[in-house]
This record gives sequence, structure tokens and C-alpha cells, in this order.
Amino acid sequence: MKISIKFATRKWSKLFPNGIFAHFMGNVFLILLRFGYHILFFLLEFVAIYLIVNYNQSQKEIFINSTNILATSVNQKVDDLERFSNLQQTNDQLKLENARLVERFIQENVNSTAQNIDTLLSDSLKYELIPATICNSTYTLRNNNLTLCQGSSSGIEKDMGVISDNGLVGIMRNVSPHYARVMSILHSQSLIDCAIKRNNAHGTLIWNGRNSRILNLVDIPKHISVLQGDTIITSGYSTIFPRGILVGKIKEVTLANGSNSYDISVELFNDPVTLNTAFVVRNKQAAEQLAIESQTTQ
Amino acid sequence: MNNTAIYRNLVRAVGLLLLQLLVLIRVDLGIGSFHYIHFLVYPFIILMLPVNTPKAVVLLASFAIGITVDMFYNSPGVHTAALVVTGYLRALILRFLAPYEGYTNKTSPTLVQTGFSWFISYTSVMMLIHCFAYFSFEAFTFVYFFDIFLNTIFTVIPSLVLFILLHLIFRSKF
Repeated sequence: MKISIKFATRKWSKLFPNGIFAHFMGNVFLILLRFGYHILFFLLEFVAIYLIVNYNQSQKEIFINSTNILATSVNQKVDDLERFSNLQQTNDQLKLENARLVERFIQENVNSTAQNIDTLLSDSLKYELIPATICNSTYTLRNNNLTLCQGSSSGIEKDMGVISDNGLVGIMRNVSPHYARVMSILHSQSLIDCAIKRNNAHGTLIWNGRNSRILNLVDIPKHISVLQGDTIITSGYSTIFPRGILVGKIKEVTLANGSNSYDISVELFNDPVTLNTAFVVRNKQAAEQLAIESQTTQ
Repeated sequence: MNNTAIYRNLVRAVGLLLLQLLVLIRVDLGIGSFHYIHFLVYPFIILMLPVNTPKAVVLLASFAIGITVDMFYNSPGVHTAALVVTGYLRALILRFLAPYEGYTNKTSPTLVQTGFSWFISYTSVMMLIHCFAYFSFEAFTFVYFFDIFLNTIFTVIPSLVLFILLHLIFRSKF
């Protein structure tokens, strides 16, 4: 090969005397000599494939479709990536939408019990929900607390209720600008007024500290009929939770000897252990209600 | 390559092309859904060219033969593409299979000159390359890889057997 290249250069330098052109042509010739075979191969192969694609129907279709498949798959990848990068935003938006829906639901409940034409017509909702993310929570202790990643900058205040999409979470205890501390319903001091949906008898929901899915409903007098499987809702007798939020269903009813009230264990609809999002319930008329109540007691 | 060799190769080319394009094109050995057997003898024109044929000539000859076959098979480019690949890889395979003493100037990779085992290994490798390339270009996608594979296997063997028979019938002194 080397000998032939030398020979070729000598031969071609005679044909093209000195000058840049001669060097250029010599180089081109050398490249052709060295790689001409491969270049020829690719040239002929290109012609053949051109013929295949242009004059054979099935191969033509496959070619066009394959390029389409390639393009679509690339597009889809890019699309997926884009959607993934927007996931946080989408998630926030969905949470907000969810909050609006639950607000509607609460308002329906309030309206249907109020039976008041003014309330029905009023546009302003009494309860507003603030979506929040749970950053930290305990559930194995006797007194459990949660931390929310939203604080007073999002409109959260002390003594607001915290719910999830299908149950209770807790009550707001402390609020900093960007964080909020919630007393979980799995807390020894958590006393929430709940009612049996069927007959509106209401009692207090407490946690006895054993099972994180089971709470106890106490103070329901024994003359009221209580059945296993009855649904428990919030009673709305405080400014914290609106009426009608689903809490759980009755799992077991016992009546201790000599006792005047049932001992009811309630199985929660939600699992407080696996929650990661919650809604903070803002009662717009809470201050008004509390003010008039405190006036009357004085 | 002297005139005798050119003459011999030309005759072989014409003969094999006539056989391929007038006879074997009509042979259909499909049984039911088993239709993988084809006879392809035209690649042997390229395979049997003398070892010292210039590579560019091999490529151009492959192209010309491929185009001719494609004209009759009514599939522009398919045989051409496969045969050009075969012609391109011929030099590589010949280098791999080179005997210890190397090739002489007059060597043609024919049965008489090279011996049976060398001939079989050379032709089977080349035919595998050619048939795989051919059926790949025909399908034009590797979705039907199993079909391509079966077609390749069931085409290489009968083609090889047929060519060896022809080779023995039209035996030459070289």
C-alpha cells in the first residue's frame, strides 16, 4: 500500500506541477486511493437504498413509518420530560382545584341544614380551604403532631381545622410564616365534636392511643340507637370544622355495665399514617361567632 | 488476471444469471405456511472472482449484477444493496480465511483450487452475509427478525448445495 501511494504521488506530481492546486489534487487523490474502496461502497449502497425506498411500495411505507415512529418517540420523550418538570406546578394546581371542590361540598352541607334562602343565594362561601403539604408527622407516640409546609403567609391561622380529602387530620396549634404545627387527631388532648350521620346524635371523638386507625366516640347516651357501620361526620358545632366532613364508620359498639353512654370505636376513612397533603379549613365567620358566644357567656 | 480468467468469469456470470433469472426465479418450494426456501446462486459470481481482483471492480460488478437481478425480480435496489454489501465484505472475509502461505496471483476461490473445507467455510460465510443482508433489505425492518433468520438459513443451504453440484458438473481444470 505504501509503495503504491508513493508511486501514485510521484506520478501525479508530474501531472500537476508545483503550487497549491497540485498539493490539493495530490491529497484528494491520496484520500481516494486510500479510502476509495469504502467511499465507492457507501456510494453504491446509498444508490441501492435510494432505489429500494423510492421504487418499492412496502419498503417505502416502512421507511416513512419508521421515521415517523422515530420522530414520535422522540417527541413523546420530550413531552414526558416537560410534563415531569411541570409536575410540581400541576400538582399544586390540582390541590387547589380539589380544595375548591371540597369547599363546594361543605357549602352544600351548610346550606342544606340552614334552609335559608339568603345563605343559598349568597355567593361567598363560609369556608375556604388552603391546600398544604405535610412535611413531618409522627403517629407512633401518645401525643402526635404534624408540621405543614405552609404558614401564615398562605393565610393559615391558629385554631383552624385541618382535613384531608376523606377525613380529619387535626387542629392548628402554632403558626410561623412558612410552617404550621398541627395537633393530630391522634393526640390525647384532641377532642372533636362528631355526630352520627343517621340520627344526628353527637359525641366527642378521642383517641385512646392504641391503634392509629381506630378512634373512640364517647358521650353518646344509651337511649340513642347506634348501629355498627353507621357513618360518623363532623357536627359543625364549633368554629373549627364545618359540618358534614366524613370521619369514619362505627366498627364496634359496647355498653359497659352501669354506664350511661356507649363506648363506640370508629374506624377512620383515611389513614393518618400515609397522608401527605391536607387542607386547612378557614372559617371566615369564626371571629364573629366566637365574639357573640363569648359575649353571651359573660 | 489474464484473459482466460476473464473469459471464464464472464461465462460463469452469464450462466449463473441465466439460471437465476430464467429458472430459479420460478422455483417455489413453499409447503403450506413454510415458504422460506429460495435459491440464490448469483452471489457466486462475485464469490468466485479471482482473489486479486481490484476491490473497486468487485464493488462495481456487484452493483451491476445486483441491478440486473433486480430488474427481473421487480424489486429495484434490494438485491443490489445486499450484493454490494457482500462484495464489500469479500475482501475482509478473504483476509480472515487467508492460508498460511497467502494467496498466489492466480488464486481463484474455487473448489478445485482451494480444497473442500476452505471452500465450504468461505462460501457459507459469504452466503450467510448475503442472504442476511438480502432478507433484511427485503423486510427493511428488524421487527420480523425471526422470519429473516429462517429465510437466511433455509436459503443458504439449498443455494450452497445447488452451487456445489453445478461446480462439480462444470468442473474446470483450475
